[in-house]
Amino acid sequence: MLTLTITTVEREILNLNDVTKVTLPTVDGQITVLPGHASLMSALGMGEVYVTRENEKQHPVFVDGGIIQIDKDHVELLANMAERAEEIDAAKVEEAKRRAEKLLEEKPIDIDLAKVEASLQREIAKLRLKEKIS
Amino acid sequence: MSELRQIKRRIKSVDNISKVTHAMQLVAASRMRRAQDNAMRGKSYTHKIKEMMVRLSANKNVKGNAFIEPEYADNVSGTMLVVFSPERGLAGALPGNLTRYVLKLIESIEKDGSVSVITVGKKVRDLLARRGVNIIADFSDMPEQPTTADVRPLLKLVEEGYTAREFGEVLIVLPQFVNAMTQIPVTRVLLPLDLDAVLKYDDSLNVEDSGGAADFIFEPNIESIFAELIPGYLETQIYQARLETVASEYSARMVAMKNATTNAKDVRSYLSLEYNKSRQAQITRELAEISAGRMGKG
Repeated sequence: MLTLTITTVEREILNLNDVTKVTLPTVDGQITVLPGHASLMSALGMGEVYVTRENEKQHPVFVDGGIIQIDKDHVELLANMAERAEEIDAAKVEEAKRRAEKLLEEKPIDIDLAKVEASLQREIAKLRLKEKIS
Repeated sequence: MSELRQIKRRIKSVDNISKVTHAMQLVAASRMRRAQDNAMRGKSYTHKIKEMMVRLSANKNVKGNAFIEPEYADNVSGTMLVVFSPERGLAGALPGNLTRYVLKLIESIEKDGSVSVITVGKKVRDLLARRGVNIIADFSDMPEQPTTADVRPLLKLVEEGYTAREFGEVLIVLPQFVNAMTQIPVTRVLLPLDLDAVLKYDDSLNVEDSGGAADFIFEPNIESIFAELIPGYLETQIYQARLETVASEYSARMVAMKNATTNAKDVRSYLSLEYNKSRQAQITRELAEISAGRMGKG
């Protein structure tokens, strides 16, 4: 059995102790963690964290950037950004997506286009996850 | 008669004071709740990222990163203190206690090296400046809920000074929020990321010796993980220190104002007793005068 915590600066997103399997995105690609995993540290990429619990169902969590530490069957995720799928507000995401698209179209000179592009990708990924679970 | 009027005037002014302090108490209480929530929510992340950093730094073979290479910190004397304090007064004993703590800390460090100070918050800045402490920068306009952009200038100063070996240690001092009644001045080690330093200053975040990370697999490699962690680490430590200071400030003010209101009520009840006494004395005196007059006539 694994324990899992996902923490952001704002709050603790998840804190579970009956996890049998976690699938998470690293910067080098997706990995799956089972009990008995070797101690590992890696950087978190953008994407969905899928959690399998022993008796209960668990919605996925959307993360973007951060650090993964796996040690003695404890999975610690310090995420720069994390949101539970069921808490994603589709209307807000649409709004953010529209704003990013508008910026990319207008291309004002005083803006970091790579950053806007990245946030657009993030909003699209969030929407996709939202659709998937509903 | 004039004595009575005087007491009456004093009762009125005490009433006004208690109204003001009561209002301030309510304002501080509502702000305190919000500040307290903010401070509590960030605490676990701040603690965890620090524990991770200290653990990783036990790996002494990381090269090319000024923040963890041990030879950077060794042989460099000098300490940078980042002192967080309240922005405004009327917070009871908090600024005084904090100043006393800082001065004691400075005194103990100065035995081995020089100390320079960065202040965030006006209260302790003014008290330290009066004592001739070497304050090199002041960031007192930092908002109560700072963003990355607000923290950045302070960190730039710290990072540049540390990598240029102007100082070997960076400590954060803040009034740690325990609960509404208690706030204690504490030290936290920002740099070096070293368990010895953490133990030396009795770091209030209780970083445990987790036995290093010798048998860890690092993907893609330990250097890139450090590079990913360090900016966030420095930022959240400063951010969290500011949040906790704000929570402490409002709690201290709420308690101070509550005491002031209670005191005003005590003074008021004492004064009204005095008022009634002297009114009674006056009546007695007048009666005595009347009866003396009548006896003189009879």
